Amino acid sequence: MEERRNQPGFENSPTKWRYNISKSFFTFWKTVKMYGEGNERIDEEIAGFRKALNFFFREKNEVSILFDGIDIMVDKVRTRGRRKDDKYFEDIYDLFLSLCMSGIVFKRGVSDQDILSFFRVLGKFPVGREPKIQTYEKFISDLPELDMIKTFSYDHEESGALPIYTPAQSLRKVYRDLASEYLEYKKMIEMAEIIPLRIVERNVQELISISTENRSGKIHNFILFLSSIQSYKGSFKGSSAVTRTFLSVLTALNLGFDRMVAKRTGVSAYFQYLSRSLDKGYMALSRMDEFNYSRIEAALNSSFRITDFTEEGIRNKKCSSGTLSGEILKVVSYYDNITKKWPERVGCKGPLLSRPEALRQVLKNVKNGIFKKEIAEAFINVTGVYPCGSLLKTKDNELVISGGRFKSFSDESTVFVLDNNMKIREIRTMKADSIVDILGSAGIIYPPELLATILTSYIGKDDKEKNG
Amino acid sequence: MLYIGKKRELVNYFKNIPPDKKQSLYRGVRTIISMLAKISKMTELHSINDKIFDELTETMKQNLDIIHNTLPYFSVSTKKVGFYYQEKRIQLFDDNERKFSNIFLTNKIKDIYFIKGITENELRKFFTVIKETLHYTLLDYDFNTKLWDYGITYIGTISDSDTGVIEPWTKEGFGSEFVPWSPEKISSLSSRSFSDLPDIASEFDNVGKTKESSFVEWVEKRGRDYTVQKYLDKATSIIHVDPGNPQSIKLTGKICEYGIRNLQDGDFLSGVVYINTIINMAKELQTTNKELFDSIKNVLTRLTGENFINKTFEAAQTMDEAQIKSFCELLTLISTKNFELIFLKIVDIKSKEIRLPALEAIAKNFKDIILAEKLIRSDKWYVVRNFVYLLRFVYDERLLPFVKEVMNHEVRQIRVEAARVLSLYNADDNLPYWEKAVFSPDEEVRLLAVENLVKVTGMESKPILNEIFRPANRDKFNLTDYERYIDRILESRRKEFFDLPGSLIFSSNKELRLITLKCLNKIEDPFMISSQLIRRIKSKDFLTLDKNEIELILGLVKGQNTLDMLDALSFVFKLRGGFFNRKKYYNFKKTIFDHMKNKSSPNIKKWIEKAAAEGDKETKNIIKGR
Repeated sequence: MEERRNQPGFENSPTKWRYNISKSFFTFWKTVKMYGEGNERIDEEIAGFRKALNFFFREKNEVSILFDGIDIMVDKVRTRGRRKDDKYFEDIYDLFLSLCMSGIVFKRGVSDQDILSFFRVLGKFPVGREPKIQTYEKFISDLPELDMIKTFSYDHEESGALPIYTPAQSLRKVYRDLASEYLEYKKMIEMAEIIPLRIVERNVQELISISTENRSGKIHNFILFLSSIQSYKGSFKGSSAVTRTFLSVLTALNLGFDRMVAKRTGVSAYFQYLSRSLDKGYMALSRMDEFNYSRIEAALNSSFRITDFTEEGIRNKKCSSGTLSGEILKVVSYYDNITKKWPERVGCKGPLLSRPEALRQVLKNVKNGIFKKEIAEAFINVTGVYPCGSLLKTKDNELVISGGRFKSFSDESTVFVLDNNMKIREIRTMKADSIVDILGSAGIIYPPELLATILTSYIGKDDKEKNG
Repeated sequence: MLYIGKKRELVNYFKNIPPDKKQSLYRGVRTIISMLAKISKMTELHSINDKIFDELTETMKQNLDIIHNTLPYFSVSTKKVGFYYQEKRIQLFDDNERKFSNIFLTNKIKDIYFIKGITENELRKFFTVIKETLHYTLLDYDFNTKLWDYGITYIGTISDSDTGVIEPWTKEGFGSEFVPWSPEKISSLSSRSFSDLPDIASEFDNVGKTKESSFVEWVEKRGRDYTVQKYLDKATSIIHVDPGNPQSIKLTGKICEYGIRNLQDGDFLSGVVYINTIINMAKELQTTNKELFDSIKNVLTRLTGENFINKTFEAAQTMDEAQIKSFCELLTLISTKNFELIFLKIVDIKSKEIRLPALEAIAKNFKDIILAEKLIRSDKWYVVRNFVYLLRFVYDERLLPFVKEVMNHEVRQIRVEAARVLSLYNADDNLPYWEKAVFSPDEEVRLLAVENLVKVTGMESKPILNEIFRPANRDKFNLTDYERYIDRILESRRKEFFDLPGSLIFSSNKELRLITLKCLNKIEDPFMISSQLIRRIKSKDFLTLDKNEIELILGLVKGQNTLDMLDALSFVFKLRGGFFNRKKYYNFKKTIFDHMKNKSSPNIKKWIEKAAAEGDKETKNIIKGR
């Protein structure tokens, strides 16, 4: 039976190209090894390898082929032989093992000459030997200076030398993983590829563990501030996916739901806008090999759109799957949508509200019977009355950004006091009744350096700590 | 899975332990890792519920305890070339090592740690994680995700995702196509008035202070089965639109596989939801899409296959109470075929709480008389016993000869069970059996015999019952027997039998009299034994009875008996002793009047009044409480 990756319509499938580059890598190496560089087949090999590299360079600055001791990972995705023709994978494993090499990275701009030079040296080394670090060292010394091709060894004597993250650093990693990968996942869905769902699950689990086991209010505030970020690395949807994930997990925990329900909620939140095509999202999450409830519930929530959760949308449409996560997401997604400025391509045209004003609107919609009272109130309990990221003014006319949870109007929390240049002048604890909302700040775009400074303040000390 | 803050604490703690102390544990640590490598192999060969894991769990726990007595925490590094403890290679000399260590490489795990406090239950869960991760290794399954899902906290890992170089936040991450608002624009924004705050604050006054019961109910109804049902509803609607579409065919396949996997993993609750959906889909597709229908039919056929049945019962060994109902529902579905295998599998289930409802669940599918003959004559007594229990729920006259065949079985439980089954059938038809059963050595059988004898329509059973109460047979029964027999006779409302217990109030055995009276007091209107009661009151013995027995007789002054019994009791108004012993009956009379004074019946009140008017001085004083 013909592999799907070779069927028409899969020309732009990353899977297909991951296999192509693996095979091309193998044949190129073998050709050089068997016939040397002065052979007409070399030109074909270079052309084939170049074509494969160019596919990845369309969107990325580098493409990696890594070996973890079991499999190779092309462009960070585990790639294995699945059919008879794919036996060459075994030879690639032998090559990496013999050279004690853990990976190769080709950077955008690599020349054909560089590639050929690299393979020329690679072809000189025998395979099937006991892995020795000296072999790798010899290989490196034989290689000419190649700026656009990098290789890495593995040191079989060493592991775990890097420091363990603090909870705040771990949260940062969770945020980055989830926000950065979102668009990749969406692309993979459209290409009917298998997405690494476990990465999302693992990050949601980590978030839940940190939320439930860390008693520091600062960590809670950090999660809330991360939830207020408009876009990360230019992606609004990726950032929104994290906002939904973070806020819905905290809401589920606030409602007293157990950690498995919180996990289902978090995974559902992340994949809520996975695909406009019901079938594609549904199929992607209905993974036969990795059955679990989180994915089942996520599948149920996966075909909504951002535009469903406007004021008009929630009144007129059925904006919930009816599951626990569906009802939580109805509130969270509505809040996320009406407080963020969206690019035109998203098609969200609803009026924007400042964050505190959005909370009042959530309460109004409880009265209108649109939101479940307990869920909406748990959500407000999580965010506090001046949600993180809100631009506020003090009685002394100072501009401040909310950096913590004000449980009520008589409670106090952290604010970032701004100077005239929109830089942080001071981090202060203030009472909620001494600050007020700025209605015109709805959809505010903060300067990126300001956001970086604020976020660093949540983990600044940890980053300086030497725990290695 | 421990949260990262705790992991840091433990790792730092371990770093500060003197190297000598850590190194002294090398042999013990090697034993643990060797065992795990073996266990990983075992998980591929045996079910995790297999007894073999009981021993392994116990040994593993003992080995861990030995290490933890020295240090409460230890960790083993996992590298491409094997396991290391304190930079020393752990030589396992085991073929399984490679496959086991692949779990850690695939999941980018650098260290695996064990903390003091591991329970056997947690170890067992850990073996399940190993099994599942090994099983799915080729599918990129995640070890850490599983550890978290199973709530394992005393065994954990330090993975790639837990460590790394510090990458601070930089402004590049937060730029977008929107131009940030200028300081001027932001500064020019006007704020809400502080005077608005009290009104706004009042809107938030009651936030989160109430949780209505309707919400709790709403949440309870949205369990895992609800999600599964919703998922399936949506899936079937996708399939329904275009059953011939390759996506629909694929989705159908997935639903079927999910269903089977859930059941085999012991998740009967959702598995049954799946299977019911599949059955409904098959009904719909039978006429609209033959290809899809056939594929579903194949899956449904698999459910009755030996392989599936074996795996399902393995999974059932450890299921919790919440799953039993669904498990039974599944058995009802699949026992239409391969009944014998399913029955024998149920017989092997140790837990009565699962076995009995399971037998009941499959009973409705039992129709095979030849199989009945085979099972009733099985040389394994427990097979016979469970089969006879199953027959409780199968009403089929053709099976009666088999039941009667084991009425005198050497195993008591079978005799009792057979009597219970026979009780379901017409008592008249089985009178000869019940006649004999009255004197059975088995207490339960004797009781069943009485229960059935009172059901016999005519009066043929009365002489048999009479035999029970004959003084000559008293030794054959104990007092509890009599109490139960009397209760059964009275419960039958067969008044024609009431004189049988009625006669026992004259018994020379005081205990028997008391038990009889207690039973009689349970009935609302003891008029059927009125004449016996009056005779008892008028007997000379009545004056000599103990207080409690008198009170039990007085308790029967109710219903249609009341006036006749009061009349019979009137002799006490003027009852007194002889010249030398005037107060001879004082206590007797006091017992009667004190008891009757507490009654609310108007007739009894009148009787007391009459006693006060007509009685002697002693009577009057007793009534007045002097």
